Amino acid sequence: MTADKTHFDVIVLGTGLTESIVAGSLARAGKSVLHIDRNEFYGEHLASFDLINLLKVTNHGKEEDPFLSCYDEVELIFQSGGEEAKEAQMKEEVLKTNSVEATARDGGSDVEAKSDRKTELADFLRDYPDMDAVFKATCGIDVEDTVLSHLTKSTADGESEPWMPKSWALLELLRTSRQYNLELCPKLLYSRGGLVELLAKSGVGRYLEFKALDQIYLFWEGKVEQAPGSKEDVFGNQTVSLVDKRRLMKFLTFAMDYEENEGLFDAFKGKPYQSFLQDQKLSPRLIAFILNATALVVERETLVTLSTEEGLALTQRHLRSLGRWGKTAFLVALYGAGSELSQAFCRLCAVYGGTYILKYPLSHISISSESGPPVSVAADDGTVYTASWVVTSSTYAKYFDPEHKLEAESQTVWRGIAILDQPLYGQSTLNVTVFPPESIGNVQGVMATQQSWDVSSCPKTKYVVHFQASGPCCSREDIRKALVALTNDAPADAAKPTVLLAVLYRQTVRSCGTTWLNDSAVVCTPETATPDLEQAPTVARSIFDRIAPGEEFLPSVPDQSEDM
Amino acid sequence: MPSPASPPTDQEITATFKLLLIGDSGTGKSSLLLRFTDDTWLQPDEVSATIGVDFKVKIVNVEDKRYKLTIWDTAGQERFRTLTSSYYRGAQGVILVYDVSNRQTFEHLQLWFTELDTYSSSRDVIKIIVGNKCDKDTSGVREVSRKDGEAFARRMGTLFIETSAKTKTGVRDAFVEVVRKIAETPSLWQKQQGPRPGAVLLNGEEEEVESSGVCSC
Repeated sequence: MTADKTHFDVIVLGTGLTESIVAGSLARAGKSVLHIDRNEFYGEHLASFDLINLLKVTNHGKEEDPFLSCYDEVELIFQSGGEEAKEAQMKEEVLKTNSVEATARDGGSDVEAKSDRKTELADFLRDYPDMDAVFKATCGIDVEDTVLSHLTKSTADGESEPWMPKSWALLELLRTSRQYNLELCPKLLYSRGGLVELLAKSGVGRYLEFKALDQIYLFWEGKVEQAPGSKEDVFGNQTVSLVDKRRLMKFLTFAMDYEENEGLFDAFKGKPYQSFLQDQKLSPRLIAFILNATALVVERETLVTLSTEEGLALTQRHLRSLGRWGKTAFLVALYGAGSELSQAFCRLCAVYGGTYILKYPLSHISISSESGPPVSVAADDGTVYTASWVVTSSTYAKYFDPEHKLEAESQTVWRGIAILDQPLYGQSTLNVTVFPPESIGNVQGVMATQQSWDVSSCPKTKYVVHFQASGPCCSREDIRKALVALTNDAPADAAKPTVLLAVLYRQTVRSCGTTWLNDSAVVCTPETATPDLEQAPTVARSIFDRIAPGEEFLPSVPDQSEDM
Repeated sequence: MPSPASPPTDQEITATFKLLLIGDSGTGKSSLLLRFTDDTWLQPDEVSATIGVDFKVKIVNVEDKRYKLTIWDTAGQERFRTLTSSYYRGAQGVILVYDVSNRQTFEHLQLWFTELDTYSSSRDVIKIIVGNKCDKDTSGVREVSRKDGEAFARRMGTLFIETSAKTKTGVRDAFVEVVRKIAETPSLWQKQQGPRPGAVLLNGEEEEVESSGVCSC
């Protein structure tokens, strides 16, 4: 499986968003591009999976794999009290009733139904051997010992195995696997952010579909509050005093064009944003609203260290994106933002002649050649590809020569994905809930993003909530607490969603910013902790400008629908 | 300039269908597409690999109805089977192409069916198997008989046709047959005409596209 051509202008390793934008823009500018990923899917740490594949990736047990080893500490929560189990139980009862009648007629049909079910389970487990660990973790069964060996035993005694209803319920859920698109790392797009502008301008946006995020909620003093998204929201809010409303509006109006009123924050430059907000006489609740739900800063340490200029820039970015589509500043991509966007830029690259090889393990990257092409990349199959430049995600950094070993830090994000039987807040299907640090006994702030069938995340009758917590000492506990707060501890008058299945995991990526090892090699880091993808186009642009100086970055593609 | 096959433009479009081309490299997928949409033919040395063809739009008249087709080409991503899952999404018709003068491309159809099954959003998607390059009909050159092609298509429950993008044989029929079959299967397209309600598209044409459908207040 080798390309007949082995020399390219640029070799790109990893199909995360930054690398994919680099690949697409360079191919668009006429460079020959070879784009490789060791995984069989696009998007790297931003990929989307169906349910079975998500479970496979998070329960991999392969510590050596440079990609999979970034996912560990997985915990599965499977509640048999969920809808699936109830359904399964109901079916069980129906079966029993039917079988009583049937037994009267021909006898033994109950036993048959039960053993059929066991056969089905065994068939499934044979087809998906990777799911053994999942059944073991959730239903406490050892597949070899329990299910498969049971089949060989006679079940004529009609004894009902205690693990069967739960296993069956899980099987029913897994059978709908393909209706799920679950992101390893969910992302939102600022409606007027650089990425949205780039998608519109370059024409790459035509491959994609989005929906507006409905609402942002803030968890404040034990309650969930709607974060105001507009002037009307601010003034319509019954729980904020008139004085506070005026102060908030005054502040938001200033923040929208803060550069024009430098005098107002000059004294706070380089000082914490938090103290600047306090100086504006804003109440703690409004400060939380601005910091956590508008600037979207939730890491405990960052909340303290964030400078006034940084904070104002983040606040402005949010405010400027309001009112373009829907009620919030954000768009949600159908089928998963990172995965779809990466694929769209890869498609552009391919249309402009880029070569793609996925599921292609590499063994070595050399950039120290005295003569000949500056870069050579050796694949496991022995093929050596050469190029003038190599652009790689941090996942591949370990393949460089020892003298180019990269000083990389680990960037850890704790995540959880919960499948629910009901939405968190009635009508709203796409929303974000922000838990500030310590609001529910959590150390780090937690962001919870609800997705639904509207963005093809799950079947129509289910809802998916993604949780994330980052920053020093973030932990599984932060995720658990937020999950409990939104489900078990939901107010009694609200519909209480049941967690059907939750996957909690730790994502640790090598973080080195954007590092040029020499003139021909650059390593970039995926944006895992941020809720958005605003860095990717900026980083990609800077790499593009260095490799193709003077060329236009992603000019609009000709509209082929016009040549009809 | 409208091609001779294009119907008058004032008639209303009944539906828009997304069609895909898949199959091994070198089977002539892009040639079929260009022959159908632009009635052009490039010599093999002019098109060693697909560059620049993303998708083509063509309006066809089938049984007095006008259909707008967006037909997507693989952009060379079929070479190492790296087509994106988004390529397959939302397609109502799939054209699986092999080369009658290359047995292996015919045998690989099975892999393409598996791939299609993995990614295709609807099980009812209409498929046609196309044996291209049927102008290469001399013995010793042809490696897949028409009978073999037909038998395989029957087994897979798909339409079948042999074509030659070079001589134009069967090209229009291949596309029209798929359209006819999709039109006969309303479940495939009537529910999902265009984007979902409230969808936001960034197609670069309009500066601001207000979300339709869902009221945002």
